[in-house]
Amino acid sequence: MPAEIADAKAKANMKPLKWLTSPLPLSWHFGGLVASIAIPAIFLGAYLISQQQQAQIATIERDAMARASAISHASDSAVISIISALRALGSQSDLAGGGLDSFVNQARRSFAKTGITVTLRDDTLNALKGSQQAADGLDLGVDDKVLAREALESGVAKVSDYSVAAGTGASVVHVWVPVEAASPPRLLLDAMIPAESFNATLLQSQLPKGWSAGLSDRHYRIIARTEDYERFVGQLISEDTRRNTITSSGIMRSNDLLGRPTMQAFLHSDLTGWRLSTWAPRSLIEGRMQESWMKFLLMAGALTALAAASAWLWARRMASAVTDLAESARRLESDRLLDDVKTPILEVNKLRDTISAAAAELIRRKAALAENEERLRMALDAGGMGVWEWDPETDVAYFDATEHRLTGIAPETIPVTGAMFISRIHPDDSVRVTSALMRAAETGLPFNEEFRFSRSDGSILWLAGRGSAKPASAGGRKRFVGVNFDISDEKEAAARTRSLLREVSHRSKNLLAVIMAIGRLTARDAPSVKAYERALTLRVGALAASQDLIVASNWQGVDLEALVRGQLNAVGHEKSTRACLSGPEVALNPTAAQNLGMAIAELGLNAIEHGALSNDTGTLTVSWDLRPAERPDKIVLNWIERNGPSVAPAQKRGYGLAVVERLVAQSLKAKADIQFAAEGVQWSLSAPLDAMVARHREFEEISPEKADRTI
Amino acid sequence: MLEAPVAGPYSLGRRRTWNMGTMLKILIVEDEVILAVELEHVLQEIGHRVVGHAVASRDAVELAAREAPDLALIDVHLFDGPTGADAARIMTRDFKTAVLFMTANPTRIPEDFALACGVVTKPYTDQGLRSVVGFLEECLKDGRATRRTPASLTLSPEYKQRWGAAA
Repeated sequence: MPAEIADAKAKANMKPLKWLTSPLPLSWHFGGLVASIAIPAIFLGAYLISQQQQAQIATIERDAMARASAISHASDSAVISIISALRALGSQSDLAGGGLDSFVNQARRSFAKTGITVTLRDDTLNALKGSQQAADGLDLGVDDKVLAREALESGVAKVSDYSVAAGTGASVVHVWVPVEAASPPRLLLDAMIPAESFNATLLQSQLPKGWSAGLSDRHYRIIARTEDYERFVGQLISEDTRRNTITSSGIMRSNDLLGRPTMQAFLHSDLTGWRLSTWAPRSLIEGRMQESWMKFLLMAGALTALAAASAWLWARRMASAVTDLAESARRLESDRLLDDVKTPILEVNKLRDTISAAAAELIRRKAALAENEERLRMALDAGGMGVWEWDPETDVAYFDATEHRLTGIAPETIPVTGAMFISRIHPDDSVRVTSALMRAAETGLPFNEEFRFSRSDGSILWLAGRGSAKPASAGGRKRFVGVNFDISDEKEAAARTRSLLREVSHRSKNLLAVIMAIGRLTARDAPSVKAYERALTLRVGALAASQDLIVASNWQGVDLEALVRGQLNAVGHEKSTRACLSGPEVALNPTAAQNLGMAIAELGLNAIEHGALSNDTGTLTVSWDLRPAERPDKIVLNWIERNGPSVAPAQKRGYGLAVVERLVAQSLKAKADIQFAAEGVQWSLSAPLDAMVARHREFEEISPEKADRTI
Repeated sequence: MLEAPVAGPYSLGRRRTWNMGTMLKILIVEDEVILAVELEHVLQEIGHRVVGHAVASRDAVELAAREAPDLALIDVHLFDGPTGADAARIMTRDFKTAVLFMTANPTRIPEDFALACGVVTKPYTDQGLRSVVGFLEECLKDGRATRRTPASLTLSPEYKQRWGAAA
């Protein structure tokens, strides 16, 4: 799908930033914090240090320059003082006058103990007189001669470059001062100054340790040098330094004659044109700075490491607090409360308290829910109710265990569908139930139907279905939930009740027909209305008595003895007590009870009116036996009257005879025999057991289905 | 299920002839013997001959085969169960006996009346019974109704049509 591709692309694009967005452990965050503080701090420190070092270097340079300037000034002063002294010498001495000796004396006085040798030269530069004893070695070098001549010609004092004294070979410098003679040409005073004296000047300037100073001439030949003077005097300054000397003064970094990298401040004297420099090895200056850099880096590193370690410890502390809480919160999965985790972090403790409170509340609610659920479940189980939920859109259904049991649809069936359920509904009911379901799903009105349902094992149940649909809530779905329960017993009972009521109605109508027939038959025999009324009353009363017993037995078995007793009672209350009843317990079926009852009533009526019970001496014995030896499938009953008035057979075949002979014979398939013997009436009955004795249930053959069909 | 007994020589394909004033041969099939006894009295008084009384359907069919009654008055519920309808079917079909149900529970009669011509609901009155039997006698002899159907008689749809009986 395009959306997925786009999503994947977006994810791929995100990848470089993944480490930013992906969750990191707390120690990383702390590390980040330390880094974010330490890195700027280090940069700031480095900036400050470099600023300070620059300032320091500037100071050093300034100092070096000042020192160089001071030394240069000192050497210039020395030269000036010599020039002045020479001028004074020139003006005081009568040189022109030829007073050479006084000049020598004067010169010796002026320059005593300075090591300076003064020589008076003529315009050809030949030494005329000198302060030195020996006149030899006073010749000037070629370069010196050029300068000396310039001085002579210009009349201005000049200073030479480095020079070597011709006689002694000592390193010297000449200062020439022209003197006006009495007559031209001029004379020249030549002071030969040992380079050592300049060296002394240099050494007098108190240089800081490690610093050196040097003086070189206009051609960079070393005149004086505080360091290794003897070794380098007269030599050129280093090639590197020479090359770098492009201005008259300044600061430079170059290698000295020893090849050491140095920093030097230099300047050229306006007076002499000499170059003066002070220098120190760069290692001396920068070594200290490097040292401070090293110190700084070490300190920064140590502090950062310390901060990182501290951050790590704190992070670990916090992380362990959070982890402990998370571990503890795991207990919630099994519905247990949190441990009483004590962490050193207030906020985590607060979080713990909040979670604890929420968890306790959740657990309480869950328990309440579970209890509620259990109550519902128990109620549903007690009611045998299966719960279902049906989604009308997808037809997918959920059945609970009871519903699965009710329907016989295996719990492993996935998914259970509405169609599966409906297909099992009896064809006569399914359209009605389906449309009721649809209607309920659409309208939200309650669903309430009863229907026959064929379980998967083939048995058929009557099920009641109740349910209702709840319209979809915002963001939710429509829910249609209901129950089913087995109403087969109720249906069967209702059918049985209907059948029973019909039967009762039928029987009572039948009974009415019987009563009407009794009435009409009684009327046929009755000699008078009074006799008719009496006979009818007793007969209907007797019938009522037997009906009482039948109804009391719920159309089941009527006790034979109770029947006989009841009939005799109904026709002759006082006298019937003389009857002697004996026989085993027999439960008669309702038909037998009614018909036998009618016969007993007729016999009793006859006995009371004409037979054994009509006088005070007669006896009546009613005895019966089940399955007597000679007739194993019969019930026999004997009615024997004795000691009554002598009886004669009935004159005409009336109701009574019809009942005791034909009625019992036909309706009980019995053999009935009545004898009007002299000692009294004897009546015997022998009937098949199955016609007489009650079966277990009178209505058993009427199944509910059969009953329904005959409505 | 009842089986028709092997029909006698005069039970097969026998055409009935009806003479005015000739009494009907009537079979009573009723498990309440007292009702049968009383019914016998009434029928005899009207002038018909009761050829037999059976309390069970098997006996009833046997009697019908033997006696070839013109009319059988049959209760639906008999001694051997709700077998009256079956007996009625066999009698009508095999012995051309006209059948009238007499029952306290007319709802148990099948829709086609089991080929019977009608039903009288118990309990009936003496007068009602007499008029019904008289009506049937006429209809059986004439093949159609000449007077109104008595109130206590419900004719089967088929016989109502056949006899053109007015309610």
